Amino acid sequence: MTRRMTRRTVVAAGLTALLVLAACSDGSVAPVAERAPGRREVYVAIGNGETAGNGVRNRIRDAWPQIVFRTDLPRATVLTNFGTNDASVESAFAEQLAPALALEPTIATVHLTEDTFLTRDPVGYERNLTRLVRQLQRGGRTEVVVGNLVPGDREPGLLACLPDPPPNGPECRLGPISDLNRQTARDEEFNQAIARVAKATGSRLVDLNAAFLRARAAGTEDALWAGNDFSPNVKGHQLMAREFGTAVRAALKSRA
Amino acid sequence: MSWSDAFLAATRSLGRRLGRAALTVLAVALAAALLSALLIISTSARTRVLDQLAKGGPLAGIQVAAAAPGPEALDTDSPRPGRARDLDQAAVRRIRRLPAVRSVVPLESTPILAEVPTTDVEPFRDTIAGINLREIRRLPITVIVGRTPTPGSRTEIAVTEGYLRRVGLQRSTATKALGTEVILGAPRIFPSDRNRPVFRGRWTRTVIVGVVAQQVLSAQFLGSDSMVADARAWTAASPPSRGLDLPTSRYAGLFVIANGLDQVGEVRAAVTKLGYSTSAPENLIETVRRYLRVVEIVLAGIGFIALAIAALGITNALLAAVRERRREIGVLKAIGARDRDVRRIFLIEAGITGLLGGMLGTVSGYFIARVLGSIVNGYLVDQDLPGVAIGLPVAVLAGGILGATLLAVLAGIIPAQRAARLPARQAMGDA
Repeated sequence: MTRRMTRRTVVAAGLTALLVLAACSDGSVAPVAERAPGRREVYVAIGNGETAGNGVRNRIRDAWPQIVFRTDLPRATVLTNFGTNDASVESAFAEQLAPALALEPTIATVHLTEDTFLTRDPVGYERNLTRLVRQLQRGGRTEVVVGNLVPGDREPGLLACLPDPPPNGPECRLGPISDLNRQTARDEEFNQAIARVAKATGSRLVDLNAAFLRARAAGTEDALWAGNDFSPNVKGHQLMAREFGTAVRAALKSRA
Repeated sequence: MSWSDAFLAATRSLGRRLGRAALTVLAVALAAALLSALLIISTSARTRVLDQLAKGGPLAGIQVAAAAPGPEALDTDSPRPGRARDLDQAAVRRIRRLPAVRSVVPLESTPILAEVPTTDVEPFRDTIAGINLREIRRLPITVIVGRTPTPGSRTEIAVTEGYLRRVGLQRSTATKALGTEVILGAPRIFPSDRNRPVFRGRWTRTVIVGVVAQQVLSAQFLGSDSMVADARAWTAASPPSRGLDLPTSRYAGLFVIANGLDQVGEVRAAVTKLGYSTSAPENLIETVRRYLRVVEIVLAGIGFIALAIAALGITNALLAAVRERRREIGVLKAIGARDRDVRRIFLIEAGITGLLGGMLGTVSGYFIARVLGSIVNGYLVDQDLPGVAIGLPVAVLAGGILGATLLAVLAGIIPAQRAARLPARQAMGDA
C-alpha cells in the first residue's frame, strides 16, 4: 500500500513538474536574422516616347523599361526612366544624360529613334549617339544596351501619310510621305549607324528591327501597334522588353 | 517520533481516505486555480500595460509633430498643431537631452506612387513611413500577419489594412498579401525647356512581408528609414513647385518615450517649450489606470474568498478525520506518542493537501489564464490594439504553491491541536 502510494506520489509530482516546465517555456518564434544588403543595380532608361511608355495606358506597368525592371533585374534594382516624348539624341544628351549620370547607373538602356523624323541626319545622329553612350558607360562602370529602330513601314501613323493611305486609318500628322521605300531606306541608314555605335563603344545592340520582322513573318506584327498610330501597344512593348531584357541579362552575366 | 515517521503516518492516513483527501485537494486546487488565474491575468496586464506606462513603454509615448504648438498646446491629449516647423537632427538631439526622456524614435515619410502588378488596381498616390526598424518595439504597432521588415532593408515593406481594402482583401485574407510585390515610385520634378515640368519616378520593387494594424503618419506603407530616406532625398531635390507635395521637414514626426507615465506631462511641457506640438494619451491612461486598480482589488478579493472557503474545507476535513481517528490517536498515545507527535502528523497531512492542491491549482490557473488571454488578445487585435502576452510569473508560481501549503497548515492547526489534546484513555474508550 505504502509503495503504491509512493509510486503514485512520484508520478504525480513528475507530471506536475512537466506541466510547470511546459507552462514556463517560451513559445515565441526566434527573430529572423538580418540579411546583409547585396550589391544594388541602378538602371536608367534613356529614350523617347516609347521608352516613356507611349502606346500603353498604364505606363508604370506596361512600358517596356518597367517590364525589364520587373522581370530581368534583381529585386533590389532602382529604376529611373528618363524617356521623353520627341527626344532627339541631341536633346537626350542635354536633358537626360546629366541626371542619369548623377545616379551612377550600373545598367542603362538607350533607345532614341526620333531623329529619323526630327533631324533626318544619320551622320550627326551617329556622332551624338557615340558621345552619349561613351559618357554613359563611365569608363566601363555602366553596362549600356542600345536598341535600334523598329520597322516603320507598318506604323499606322506613317501609312496614313502616303499618297494612297489605307482606308479607315488615322489622320496624317507627319506631313506627306511620297515614297515609303525612301523612308525605309533612311531607317536602315540609322540602324546601320546604331550598329556602328554599338560596335565602336562595345555596348550591346538590341535588334528590335529583326524582332518585328520576325513577327511580320509570323503574321503577328499588326497586333503589336497601338491606336496612337506611332507606338507599339502592350504586346509591342512586351516584345521590346523581351529583346532588351535578354541583352540586359547577358550584360549583367558577362560583368559578373 | 521523527519527522520522517510523522510524514509516513500522514501519507498513510491520506492514502487510507483517498476519496476524501482527493476532494480536499481538489477544493484547494480550485481555489488556488482561481486565485492564480486572476493574479496571472492582473500581473500580465500590469506588466504589459501598466509597467510599460510606468517605466516608459510604447503607450507612454508622446507624439511630436513637425509643427509648432497650437493655442491649446497641453490642455488636451491631442491638441491641434500650429504652423509647420521643421524637425531636424538638431531638434532630435535637443529632445533626447531633455530630462526624463527615455528614447526618441524619429519617423520619416515621403509621398510615393504605388503600382501593384499582380492586381487590376490602378497606380495610386500614397505615403510611405520609415522608421529605424530596430526600434519598432517602442512604437504602438501590432503585426496582424507576417512580420515587420528587416531593419535596413530596401525591398521589404509592411502594409496597413487600408492597403488591403484597396487591393480587395480583408483582415481575414491578409495572408494573401504576403509575398506580393508592390512597385513604389518616388516622384521628382525636373526642370525642362518644354512648357511643363517633367516628372521622373525613382522606382523600387518591394515585397510585402507583413500587415500591421496601425497607420504610422497616415501612411499605408511602412519601410525602413534607409528606404524612405533614399526616396525622400530623390523627391526633395525637386525645384520648389506647386505640383508636388514636398516634405520640408527631415522628420515628419517623433515618438518620444518618457521614463514613466508620471513624467509624460513634464516631457510634453519641455518639448512644447522647445517649440513643437505634442500629443499623448496621458489623461486617458491615468483614468484607465485607476479603473484597473479597482479591478485588481476586486479580483484579488474574489481569489482570497475562494482560498478562505478552501481553508475552511481543509479544517472541516481534518476535524472529521480527528473524529474518525480517535481510536488511532489513542493507540498512538498508548504506545508512547506525545501530543506534539500527533499534532505534527495532522499538520503534515494538512501541508501535503495544501501542497498538492497548490501545485495542481497554480498550473491549472495558468492554463485558464492562457485561454482567457487568447480570447482577450483576439479582441484587442480586432480593436487595433497591442495584444497582451500571458506569462507565468515566478512570484505567482511560488506564491500559489507556498501560499496554498501555508494556508492549509494554518487551517490544520485547530484540528491538529484538538487531536493532540485528546487524552489516550478517552480516545480509546470512545472508539
